[in-house]
Amino acid sequence: MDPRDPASDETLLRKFLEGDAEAFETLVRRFERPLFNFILRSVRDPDRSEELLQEVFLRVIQRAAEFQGGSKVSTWIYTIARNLCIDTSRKMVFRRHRSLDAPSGDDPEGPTMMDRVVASTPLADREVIGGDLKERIARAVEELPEEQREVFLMRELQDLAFKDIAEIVGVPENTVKSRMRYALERLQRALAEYEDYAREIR
Amino acid sequence: MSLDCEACDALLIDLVERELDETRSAEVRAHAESCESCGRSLARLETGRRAARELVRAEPPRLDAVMAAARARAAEIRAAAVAEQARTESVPTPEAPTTPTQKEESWIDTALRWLGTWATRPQVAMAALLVLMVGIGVFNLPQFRSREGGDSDGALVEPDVRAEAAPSALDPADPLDLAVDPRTQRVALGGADHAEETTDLAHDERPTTTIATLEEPSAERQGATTTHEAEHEAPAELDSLAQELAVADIAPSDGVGRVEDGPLPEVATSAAEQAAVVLAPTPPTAPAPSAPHVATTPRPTAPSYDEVEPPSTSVTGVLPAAIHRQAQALASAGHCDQAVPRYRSLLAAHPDYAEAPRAMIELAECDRRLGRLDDAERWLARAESFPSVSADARRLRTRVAAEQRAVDRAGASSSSGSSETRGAVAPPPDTAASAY
Repeated sequence: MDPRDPASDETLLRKFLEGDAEAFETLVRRFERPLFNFILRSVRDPDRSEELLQEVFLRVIQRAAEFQGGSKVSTWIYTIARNLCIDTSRKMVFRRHRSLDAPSGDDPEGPTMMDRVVASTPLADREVIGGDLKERIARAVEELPEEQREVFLMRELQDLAFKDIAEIVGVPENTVKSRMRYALERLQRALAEYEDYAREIR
Repeated sequence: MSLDCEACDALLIDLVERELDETRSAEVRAHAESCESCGRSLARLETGRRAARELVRAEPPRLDAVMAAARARAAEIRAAAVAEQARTESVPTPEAPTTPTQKEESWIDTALRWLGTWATRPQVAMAALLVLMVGIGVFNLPQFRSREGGDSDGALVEPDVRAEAAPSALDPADPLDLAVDPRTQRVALGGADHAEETTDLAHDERPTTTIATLEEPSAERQGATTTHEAEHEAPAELDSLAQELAVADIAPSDGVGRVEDGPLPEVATSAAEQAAVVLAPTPPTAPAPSAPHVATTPRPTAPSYDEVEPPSTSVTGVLPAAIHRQAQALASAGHCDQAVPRYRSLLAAHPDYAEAPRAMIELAECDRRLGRLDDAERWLARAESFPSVSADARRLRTRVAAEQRAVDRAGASSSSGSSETRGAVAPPPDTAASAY
């Protein structure tokens, strides 16, 4: 919660439903950055992520009156965002699969996307290892299994409680904790690899 | 330090994520420090946490569209709230007195809406236009503009008729009658020639017909009495005058036209008979005693057509109304005897006149006053078929019937008199009905 505005998310949403547009703006300010990064790390397409961020808030506006007090506003918003991301990722995966076997350049006889991905993998590894820590971590996050990544992102970006994440994802809280733990261990390995590489360079 | 490794391992993630209270955190840390395996696990997780903090946060885009949508929605909500508040305030208490007024308002609203739908219909606009045109036309008639006043003490006809006192002074409209005479002459001739022609140029016959009907009053005024003899004598005088004037502008061969159903059909038939007799000789030498009651239409080729045309076009729609008013004025002035022929000519010559049903009732009332109960009965029977006046017709009819019974009871002398009257006047309704 934003320390500058002690009002809870639920209070802000209630004020918005009473006609207070500023309350909704406060709510947006509170969620926009974490939510955008959650979407961006999920769909890995900046343009699409911007569209999805808007879509999430527009749906919140549309459905605000239907929101029941049984759960938290943050839980509700991330449920909307997660569903949108899942839908989008499925579509994008479908497109990617189609394009992987199609010629990627103007030359119809040229290498397909799959050829280029395979050929460039060693180079990409070298680039990542040789890049800075932040890039390495970002890559490691994106390479996390989706079930771990979404838990990690919600926890890391929005600082949602494991209980709330469990509600959003629809799994037991302990499962969420396990996924979080696996995610952190993977990041630790990425960091360790980076530190080993950095020591070698020095 | 009561934690075993399994319990400690389960709590490591909570420790790293700072989900444990201080006491529990201290317990887990103490175990991890003493246990190599758990210590390594904690170290990995803390490294992972440190790595996670290196994750770059991208800057979100501007959400102007979202903010605009939120403001619009908020405004919508506020407007709805204001409307709701107004609605609830308009229903202050659920007590009885407020309910009827609301219902009444809604009823008035419904009525106004209904009237609104009528007011915008083209038929209403056309009717209003027609009324306006007729009104202007009547107002512009010289007789109506020059004369004012007149008695209106007779309580016969409807109040609105008496309100128009001016028309009662219309009957001495000599200039109009005189001006028409020449055409009357032609009418007589044409009617003799082509009595069998029943349909011709409708727009041509109308003006001459109305002129002929307008002429009757003058004949009756000369008669000054209320008998039918007057109707027969007066036209004869006029005919001679009309004949002189008509000879000048009508060639004998131009005497074409048709017999117009006259206001007094018994006269019309006699005219037809006479006309048939005088068919061979030149028209000017054939006097038609019943000229005023027979109308013909001059063919467009007639030399005098241009002279006739102006009044025909300008007076066409106005004349029936004018005749009607004249008759009403006479009736309201107590001169039922003079009013009756006008009514009859009006009904005979203008069967399509909008106020014809009303005129029938007024005529019946005149006949009733004159004791011609049979005639009254006939006119009322016809009027009853018009929904607009059927109620009035029925009312008057019962009255006439009652009077008829009283007359029948009165005795042989009075009943024979009434039958005489009946015999004399019986034809008009029938022949007039044939015009419909």
